[in-house]
Amino acid sequence: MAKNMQNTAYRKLDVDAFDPEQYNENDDSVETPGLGPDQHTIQSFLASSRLQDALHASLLTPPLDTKDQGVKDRATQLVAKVLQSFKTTEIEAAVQKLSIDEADILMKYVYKAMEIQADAAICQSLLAWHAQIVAKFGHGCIIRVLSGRQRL
Amino acid sequence: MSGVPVQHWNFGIGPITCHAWNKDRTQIAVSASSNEIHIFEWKNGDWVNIHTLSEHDLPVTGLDWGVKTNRIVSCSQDKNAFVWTFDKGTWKPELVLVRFNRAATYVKWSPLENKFAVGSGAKLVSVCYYEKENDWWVSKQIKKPIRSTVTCLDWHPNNVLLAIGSCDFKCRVFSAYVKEVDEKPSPNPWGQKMPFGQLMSEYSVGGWVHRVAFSPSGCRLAFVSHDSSVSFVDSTVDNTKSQHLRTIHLPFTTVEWVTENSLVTAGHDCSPVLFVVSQDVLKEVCKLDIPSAAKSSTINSALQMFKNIDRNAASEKVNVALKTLHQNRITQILPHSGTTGNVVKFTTCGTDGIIALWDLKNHPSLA
Repeated sequence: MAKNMQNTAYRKLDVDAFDPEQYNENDDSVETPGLGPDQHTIQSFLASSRLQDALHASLLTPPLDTKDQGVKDRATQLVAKVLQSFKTTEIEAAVQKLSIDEADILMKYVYKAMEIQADAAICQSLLAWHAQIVAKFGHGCIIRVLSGRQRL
Repeated sequence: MSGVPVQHWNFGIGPITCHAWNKDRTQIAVSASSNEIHIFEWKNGDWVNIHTLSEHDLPVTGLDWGVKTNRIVSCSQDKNAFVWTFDKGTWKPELVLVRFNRAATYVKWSPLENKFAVGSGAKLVSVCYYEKENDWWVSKQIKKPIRSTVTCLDWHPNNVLLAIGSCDFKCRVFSAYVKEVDEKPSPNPWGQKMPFGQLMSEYSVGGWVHRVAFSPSGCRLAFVSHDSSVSFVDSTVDNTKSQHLRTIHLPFTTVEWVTENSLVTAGHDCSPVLFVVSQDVLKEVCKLDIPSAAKSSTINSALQMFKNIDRNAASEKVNVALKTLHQNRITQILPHSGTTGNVVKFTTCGTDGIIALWDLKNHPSLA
């Protein structure tokens, strides 16, 4: 029996760091100008209470590939604002009109908004959206947020 | 479970990671998340354990039974692969020089069974063949440009092309032409020149790839990944483009073609799902597991449940059984009866320890 079995210090060594062919999955994403949805368009849609148009506009050009977390957070706040303008009863009809691409993006915003804007009123609205998206697009929609490499 | 028309058996050995059938389907090799491989034989209406192969040290991750040559190949987390040959009533292991420094993950015989491929966590695939001079299984390795653990692979019917799925969210088609054992391949829709290790095509998906499969003709490729999608490539149309069909289900872990135009997937939703290709577009048809009749439990709201507890002064036993036959993730689909290109029956094995036999005969969508 080896004597120093209690000594586990060697395990702290990150052997993968010494691998010359080491691959960092984040290297794949190309830095692109962080666009994010267009604030002015959305504001004007909201002002004229064209909520469905505001929702579609907010799901355009998500800043998924940028490395600037600030851009992502601002976009999330903007989308969360759009989502909150809907009454609970209108959410189902709005979700029915989404395409699967839009739904996948919206789900990412919903989870991110839950993370960064965790107060009771917003969460209630977000949970209602979440429930309706899952009802239409199934568990697959949640899985794609969890497994996807492009994050908000 | 008596109401379910699908034949199934519980082997009582715990979660089944993979299984393999012999030629006439009277024997089955299963691995149960342990270092042992059990071989069962169908005798007098029951499966009887006739052999236990325990040469591996760590859990077995892949199994394949070469039916033409009656050899089993197995691979394991212990970085080794063995070729098992049946001789004088026992299965004899032969070590293969796979040269891995990480666990082996998946193994498959080529269609002619003169070589096999083993995937590994070391970001590479070993293509192994028998060297007569040295009386030894040796390997050639495909390394580039695989950048993460190889999870699955499948052979093209021409015995040369190899599809590889991996955790870098990519599925790739390589040439695994070994000049020592292969005849020169003829050009096909995947490419003209096929030296060993040549990357023929590459496809990206939104999740790590769980399983990949060539269609019976080898012209089409399907793969499933952890973003709940099924992807499809038709090389006769365009071998650079893949269609990704995102589904509402939990991720699929396995896929198998049943005809040239239809395939079956299964996974975390515990039910096989049928897909068909019509007019070059992949479409979902239906789940093949027809849920049994409504369970006895009729509690449909928490309020109702508490009322019942209040009235009966006892709580009803909560039924946690799934409505599907498999009670946990399905890990593998294998063809059982029929021909290549027209599979009539297939089997699934799962983490619930069950192997089920599904019958596709008379299925309306396959007419």
